[in-house]
Amino acid sequence: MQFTATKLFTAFLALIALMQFVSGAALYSEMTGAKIAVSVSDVALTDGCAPTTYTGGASSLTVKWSGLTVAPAKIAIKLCYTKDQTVDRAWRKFKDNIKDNKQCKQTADTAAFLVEPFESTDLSGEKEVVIPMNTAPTTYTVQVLAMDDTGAFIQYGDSLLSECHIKIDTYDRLPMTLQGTMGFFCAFSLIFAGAVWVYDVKKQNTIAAQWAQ
Amino acid sequence: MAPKEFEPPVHTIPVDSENKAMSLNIFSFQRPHHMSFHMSWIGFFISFVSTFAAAPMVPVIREDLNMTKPDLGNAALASITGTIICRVLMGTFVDLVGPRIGLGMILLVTAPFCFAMPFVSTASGFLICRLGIGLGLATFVACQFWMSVMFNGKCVGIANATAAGWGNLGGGVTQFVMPLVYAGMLKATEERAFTAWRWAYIVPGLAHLLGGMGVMFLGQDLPDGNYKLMHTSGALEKKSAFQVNMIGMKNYRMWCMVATYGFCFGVELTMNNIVASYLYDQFDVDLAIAGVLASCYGLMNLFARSVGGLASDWASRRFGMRGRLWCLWLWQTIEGVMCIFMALAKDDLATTIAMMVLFSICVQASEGASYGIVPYITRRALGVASGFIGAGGNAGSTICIALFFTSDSIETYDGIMYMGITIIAVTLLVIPIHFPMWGSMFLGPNDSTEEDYYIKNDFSAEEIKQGLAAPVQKFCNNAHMERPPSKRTGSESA
Repeated sequence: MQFTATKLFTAFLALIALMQFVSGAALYSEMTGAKIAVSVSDVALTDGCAPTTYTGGASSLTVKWSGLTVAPAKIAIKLCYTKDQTVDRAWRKFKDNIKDNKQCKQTADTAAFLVEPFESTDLSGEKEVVIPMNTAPTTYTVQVLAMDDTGAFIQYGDSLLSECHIKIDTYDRLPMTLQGTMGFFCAFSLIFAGAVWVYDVKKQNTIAAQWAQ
Repeated sequence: MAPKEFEPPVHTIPVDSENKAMSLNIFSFQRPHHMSFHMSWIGFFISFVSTFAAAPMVPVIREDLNMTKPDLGNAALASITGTIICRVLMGTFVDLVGPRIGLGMILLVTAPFCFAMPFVSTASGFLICRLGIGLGLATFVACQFWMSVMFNGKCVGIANATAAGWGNLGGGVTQFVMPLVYAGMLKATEERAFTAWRWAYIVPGLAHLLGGMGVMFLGQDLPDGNYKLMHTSGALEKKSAFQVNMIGMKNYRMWCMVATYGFCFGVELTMNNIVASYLYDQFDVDLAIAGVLASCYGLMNLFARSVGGLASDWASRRFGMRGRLWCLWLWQTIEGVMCIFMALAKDDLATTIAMMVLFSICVQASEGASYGIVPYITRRALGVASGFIGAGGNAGSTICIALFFTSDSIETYDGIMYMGITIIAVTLLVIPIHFPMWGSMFLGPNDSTEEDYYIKNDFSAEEIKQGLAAPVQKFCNNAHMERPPSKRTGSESA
């Protein structure tokens, strides 16, 4: 009985290992097949195109992909900082591990994906995506990842032409209520400091004068 | 007509010949000693909360303003460097005008920077606001000076340490309070993170206003009255700014302590700036959790600094000033060792936190032990000495951040390692601190030298003839307690 249980457990471990080996990658470098072609609406894949600006929380873009060689089970979409925007920013560093890759993670929202894995079995497709509200105002590319039915990654692609990166601006961070409130307190604190000083000097002088009499 | 003599008020607690309290009761609000104690630590606490309010929100702020690591490093540097000059000036200010006004007014004039922070949209603006808010750290100098004039040698170590420790607590409290405030503002702004962190700054700003007001109206400079009355009555010498600065700067012991304090308090400031984002980036923990874990560092101030002060006072009772010096050297050397251990634990969160807590305890105990020694370096220029040494803390942090935590080429854990090695090396400067009448770590006292000689050496013969040294005579008598036990005469007051 014990021998059988041990055999079964060993077989189970071997099966897991086999599944890992045949089903897909955890690292970008393991995905050696052809890249998925990725494009974004309004951003032409030609040199010299002007970057398109989107607004976090207000704009949407259409992500298109094609060139998958194997029918996926799911597609996931990431928003990745352009390479120049990772310089001197260790929290945006590229990591080969797909799930840990900080270059494609938005820290303000702690979002690992722009679009969480959704079901798609076609070799090409498109999806309209709303830019999340708290996306940092900088430049990005879009990355599409294909996953098999075990959840492992099998193929990926980036909209990598630097002239055609996406520029995202943020919403109005300083509404009038904030400006008014902080502006009032700014002015009030200066006036208050002066008033307290004058009052205290007068009070101390009075006490000293009373003693001297 | 004979000049009117100043009659000091009667105090309701046991006091010595200088009317300084002979014990500390943290539950008492007795005026003026204990009320001033509470006002000083609360004021200092508020300045710490505001100075480090940005740190736990950095992962959001750096995205909003699209900052780089050098930008963040420079802003962190600005928050603790600007106050170097401010602390030096505060030292002179408290000697001339008094700690109550010094502490109260610095809180009030730095409040506008808290309210201005929401308006920043660039890295430069962020730096300027952090610099302005950081000026509030000069409250430390006023706090320590205040405790040194309110509490006598029997308890000055624990009074200084507890007030400063509870003040430093602000650096830990802010690490978990500001994320909570931010979370509340996030809900209120319908998940607009880049607006929420700006609203969060209203909390430290209002704290500055309330704290400043409390200090001004509830505190009192000296046991017998405020400075204006003391100057008018002649009970307190009216000092010259240039003169007191010269007295302080000519004392090499002050400079030794400037360096050593730079690597205990300076290290604490450095860690307050970097630890939350280090935990977030190294271990991928959630922002709020990183804040809570990071707060463990500063929260040790609740008791650890007092432990250092208590240890210093105990060592003084057993061995005199030499005990205080050994106490400081031991705590600070162990601090360096713990810092290295924390760096080595970079792959395991639990071990990192455990080492961080031990490291923090030693940092704060070192700070407490330091200010058990400072009141004795110079009596006449106590404010200046407190100011320079306090500024040394900030200078130490500036050096640490600039050398180890600004360049992207040095990993943060390596920076922490290098910092630990530097701590151990700089702490060796405790060894040459020698008081002729009390000795040093390795040298005994000079039998023929008394406290009067050392303490009154800050006065010229002419000034002594004019009676300007008379107010410090009681301090000289009380300072006999710092002699080795075999040399105490028993004539020290209580």
